[in-house]
Amino acid sequence: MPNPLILYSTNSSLAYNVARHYYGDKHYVWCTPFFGLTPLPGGGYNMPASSSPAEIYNAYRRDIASGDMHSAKIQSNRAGILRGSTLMRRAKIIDKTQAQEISQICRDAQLADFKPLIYVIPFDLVSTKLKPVPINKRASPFSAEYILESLPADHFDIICP
Amino acid sequence: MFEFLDDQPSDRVVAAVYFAARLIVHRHDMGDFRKALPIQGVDTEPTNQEAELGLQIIEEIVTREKTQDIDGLSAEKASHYVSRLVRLAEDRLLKDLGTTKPGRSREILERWRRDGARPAVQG
Repeated sequence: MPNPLILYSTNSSLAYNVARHYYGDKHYVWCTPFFGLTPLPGGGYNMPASSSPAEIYNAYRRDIASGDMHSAKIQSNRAGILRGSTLMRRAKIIDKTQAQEISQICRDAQLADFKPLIYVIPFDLVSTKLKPVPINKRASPFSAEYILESLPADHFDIICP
Repeated sequence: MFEFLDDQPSDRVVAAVYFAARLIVHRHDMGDFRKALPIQGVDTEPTNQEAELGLQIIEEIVTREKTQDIDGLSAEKASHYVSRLVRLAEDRLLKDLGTTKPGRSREILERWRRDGARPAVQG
């Protein structure tokens, strides 16, 4: 596959705000060149629903609209934010007080705080920082996923549909 | 349930819960969860020890629910267990770190709600 122009990622507003305010506006994202589930003309990939930015976006919207605070998607996002805070404290990017705040924020967050945001990331800006998810660790052997561990705020745009 | 986490440091509990939650969310798109490993070469991934604990969490859920694999877990059950695990991880972290000034986190959340993100496109 030729290099894509754009990578997409769906993240919660809460994760975005925590990174913006506590981690110097550096964001941890899983991203992919394929936004939706529908194969492009010519095929060549098979994006699993749980990794598709469009499906993740829809899942957040659905859970927020239905008032499902216990949805696995939203709760796992909280787990990811907590995990991030322990790593950032270990790396001395945040101190104990800030780690406390993040844990308490996770606990007190309401459903609307998880409003999904779509990140649009120009491939050329991040190509050297991409960590591909090895094929046997991906949700599907035919999808293409990458991790960006520290994506600067000026390397992506946000869509709030 | 999940008593084996009681003796573990809170950081390790959080990492194990994060890994287990990820496996549950991706349960329909994965093969045998017992073969799941953290992604190599990514600093933020759980260590092998943390991932082992995460797999132990899933084993306990699968045993309790009498399913062959996590793929058999209903959406309702998946939500139930992930919520329970995240609550446990938060409790452990807050116990270790202590609590913040009362109302501080709500103030921050309120400010974020007012500020919003910095959208390129807003519908």
